[in-house]
Amino acid sequence: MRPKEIKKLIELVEGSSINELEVSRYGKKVSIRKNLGNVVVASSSETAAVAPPQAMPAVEAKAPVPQPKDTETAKQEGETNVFEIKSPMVGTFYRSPSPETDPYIQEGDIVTANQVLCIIEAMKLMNEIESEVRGRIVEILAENGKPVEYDQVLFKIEKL
Amino acid sequence: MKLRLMSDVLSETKIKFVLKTKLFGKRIYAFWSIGSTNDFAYRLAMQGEDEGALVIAEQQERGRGRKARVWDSQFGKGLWLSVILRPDLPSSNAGLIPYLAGVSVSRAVEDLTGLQPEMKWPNDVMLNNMKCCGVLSEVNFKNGKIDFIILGIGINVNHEAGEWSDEIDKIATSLRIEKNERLERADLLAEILFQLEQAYDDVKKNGFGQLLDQWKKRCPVFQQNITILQEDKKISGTFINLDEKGCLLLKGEDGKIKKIVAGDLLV
Repeated sequence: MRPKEIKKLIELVEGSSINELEVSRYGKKVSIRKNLGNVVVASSSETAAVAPPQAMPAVEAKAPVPQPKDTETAKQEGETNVFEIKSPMVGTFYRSPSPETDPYIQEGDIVTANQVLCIIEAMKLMNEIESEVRGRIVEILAENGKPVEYDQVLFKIEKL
Repeated sequence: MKLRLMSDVLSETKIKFVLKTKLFGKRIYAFWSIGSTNDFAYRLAMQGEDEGALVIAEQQERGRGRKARVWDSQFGKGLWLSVILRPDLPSSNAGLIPYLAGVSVSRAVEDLTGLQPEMKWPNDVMLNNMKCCGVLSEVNFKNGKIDFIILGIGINVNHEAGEWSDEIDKIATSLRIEKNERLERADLLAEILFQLEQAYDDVKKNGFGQLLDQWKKRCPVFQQNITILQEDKKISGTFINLDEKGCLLLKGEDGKIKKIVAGDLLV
């Protein structure tokens, strides 16, 4: 989908009472969700399973982006609520599909199950890593363009 | 001339007629034009399409390479194809599979034309230091194992000099340019899939050792000094080997060995 079209969709959601909108086109899915007055845009492959649309409870939407210290607290208070996404292979970690495009996600973003989070490349073999859960990105532990090992933790996601 | 051009079209019927394989091309999805054969094959695989399915198009509107670079896929000039593989391998071994494509294309080109293609890490097939084939693969994992891999292969076959943009013209060549004659794309397709099937059967029985050895024999800079561009950083050293996962092992001046999994090898 073209940036212009996505912009139009954002305007549509902003100016309406809709909380969440998902559009599938040309094999790609764009989901737009209101979050603390802002609009969050995420895209993923069309074939990905989609979490049922749900309005975000206000208390969640207002929660600040957790800092490393908060992550520790979250761990102590409820380890099971933090989900780790690990690298399935040795490769190079990319936060966006190309150097010219924005990262798939940022810390603090809320992601749906099956939403693409990053790409791991090895020998020109690309693997789009998808979130296995719906939740908030607490921490991104790998650096763009840097190597990652098999089973290395890439993201910590607080399940919602 | 017109009749000859028409007969060059890669229809499903024509492809079936020339194929020599049991697995690859078992199902054929042939298009006049498509966004990207990889994207289509990926969606097919997600929907459960069997191993061996072939997606091929006369042109790609959004053919792409690494980091979403454009892959020039002009109508009828090359082979723009993707195949679905479902190897029974752990996810950690996925990086070995793309070597199947480069080596198979290289063997097929050699058998049909007598030219001597060389490999540029990881999977570019080169003639006279110019690129004639690129491979871009995509993988999906399930429960720690490979669910499927899409091997995307683009080969410049019947382009003539100057048929690309100036930028691509500096780095690309075609089999026609190198051989100085037009090639029957269907025959090349059949030979590539045949070589791919043989190599795939072999690695399933005997592992990847022999395939990697073949690759190394075809690589002119193996055990030579090389430079690799990663993001905006250049790394130099001696290309000492490929490890058991297909990673390039680079020995720096300090004697330390670095494992390289991605990057552009500078010629």
